[in-house]
Amino acid sequence: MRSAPRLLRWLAIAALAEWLISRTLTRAAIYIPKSEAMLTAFRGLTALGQVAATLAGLLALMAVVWIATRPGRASILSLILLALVGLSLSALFLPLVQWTAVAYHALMLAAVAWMLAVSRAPTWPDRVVVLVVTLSLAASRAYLLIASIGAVGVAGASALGPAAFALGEAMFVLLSIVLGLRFGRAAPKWAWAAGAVLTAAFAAMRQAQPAMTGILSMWSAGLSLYLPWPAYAVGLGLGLVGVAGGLRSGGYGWAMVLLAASGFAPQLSTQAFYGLVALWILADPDDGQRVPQAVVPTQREATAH
Amino acid sequence: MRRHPDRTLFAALAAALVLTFFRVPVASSQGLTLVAPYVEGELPLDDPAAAAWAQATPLSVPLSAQNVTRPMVLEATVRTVSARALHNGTELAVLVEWDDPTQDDTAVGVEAFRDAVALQFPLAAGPPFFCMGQVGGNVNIWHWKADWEAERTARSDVDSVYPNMYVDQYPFAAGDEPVAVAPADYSDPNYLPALAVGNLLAAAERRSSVEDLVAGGFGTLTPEPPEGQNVAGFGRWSDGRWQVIFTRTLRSPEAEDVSFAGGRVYSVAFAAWDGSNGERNGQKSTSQWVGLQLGAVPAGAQPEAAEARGLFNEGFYWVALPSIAVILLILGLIGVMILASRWLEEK
Repeated sequence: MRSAPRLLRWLAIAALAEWLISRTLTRAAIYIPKSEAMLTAFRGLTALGQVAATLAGLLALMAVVWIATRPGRASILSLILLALVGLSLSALFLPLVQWTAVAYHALMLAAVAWMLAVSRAPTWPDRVVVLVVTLSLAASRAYLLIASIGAVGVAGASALGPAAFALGEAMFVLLSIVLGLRFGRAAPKWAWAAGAVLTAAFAAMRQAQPAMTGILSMWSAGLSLYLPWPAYAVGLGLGLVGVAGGLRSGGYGWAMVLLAASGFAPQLSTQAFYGLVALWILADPDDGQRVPQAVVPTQREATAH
Repeated sequence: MRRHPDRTLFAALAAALVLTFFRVPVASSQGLTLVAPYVEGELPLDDPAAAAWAQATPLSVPLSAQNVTRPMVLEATVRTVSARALHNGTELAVLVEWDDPTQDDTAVGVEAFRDAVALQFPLAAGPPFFCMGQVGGNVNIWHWKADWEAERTARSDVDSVYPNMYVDQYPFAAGDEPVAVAPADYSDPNYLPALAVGNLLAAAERRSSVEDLVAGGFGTLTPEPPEGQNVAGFGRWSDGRWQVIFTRTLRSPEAEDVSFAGGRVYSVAFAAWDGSNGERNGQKSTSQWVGLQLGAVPAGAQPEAAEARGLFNEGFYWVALPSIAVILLILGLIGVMILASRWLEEK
């Protein structure tokens, strides 16, 4: 079983690189005037981000198929996950339109709901985490499902779509805070200090450059910043604390890295799969609690080397 | 305990390098797609009620208030637009409809703002930022304006809003005093510098209700030169609803224009302004990028469209076959990885 957890760790690392390089650093650098040397570095960074994005895309597909084919996996969930992989691959040829788009988003929503339904998170705080993750993922998928249903002409424009989008963003911010509170005790002191610096940096940037802050938030994490900005600032800091604490509490941290890389309102299938894999790590009844411990080399493994 | 080398994962890394080098994507878009089916014959350029539009499925595109940069609007009133598209191998027509209880088709008064709607297309591979593009990622914008539509039939000027105005003198103009004069009344256009330099806002007459623009980030919006204005528009307000048709040839000789081909997929974003809500410029509702898929043109339908016949043209073999190979590679890698995983578990 060690091979698969390593797959998840690779996926999380590739996702982190793709998120920070392709969707954050290089996009932020677009507005920076560049000398010839900086331009060369920028191009190199962009190429590195593209490799990370492709690698993350491949690993995400592998991870979802691996989850679907785990021994003892509920057959319906397996079928849903395999169908999602098949549809996302076929969409490379023919875009998902009309009913295929409805089917894709409905399957994505069903996968999220199914994972919640079979969740066996051991403690109440863990169940709360799973619930908030599910609500955030489900709301963003529901938004796309409502929009795609409207596109086939079955239902007209609905106010439910924007409401789902707004709810999902609120849940995503709440999730960062919940994760920080849940795993904060396990986090090292430097993580709290780094979280405070991140919070202060976001607040300062929001005050100095609100437009740029909005652009980067939307590009990086898909957040529209419709909530009061202190919520995002606090969420950013506590999210970092949660990841650090999660990594010390087994493999939860890897799930959180995947959730962060997925962002809210993912634009690509790869990013949507990050969210599914993260939810599986947190919620799976059999593997979800064991995998995280295997993801990070145990003390025995470490000494064996 | 000896750890097994991650051969499968290194294989994935090698595959990622190869796929990146050949620019083969492994991720698909999660957004909406507007399908523009191919139709034979003339497109309904000025008839939103034409039967041809029934061949296009409307797509409801959600909009939200632009709150990324100032000036921003906190509460936009246009929450969604319905879009349909058709093409005939030569031209593309897009019908955009949205509810608006007020018809704001003049921008002459100090506190008067027009209704408007815009389409935006990326000019570079990979959609840039959805609000006005970015440096290195220009966008082509088709901006329909309700006042320009109205001015195609009757010019609106200060005297339209203030009919009792009085003007002592307009030098070098031959118009009838005491009211404002039209640009055509000037004996020497150099006394109307904006008109003389080809500023579309000062044009004596409207050839189109759509302005063809290009942008590469906030504050960079630039109209294309008058000879490059090649987007036709038609707008109609009725019973609290705007219906606007954009039309342009699929291909454009202009460097800053987007060009289309049947069977291909593009990106488009929408924006709308409600004049009675004080919306203008950056104060607007915007959408994210939406896919725009042009239906394939049947073989031999039209000479100019034959080279872009869609799925089974020559391009198919250069694009689809490598993609099939990639999908098989991906599936193969997944299979190998799972088998390796099982084998290691058993060991």
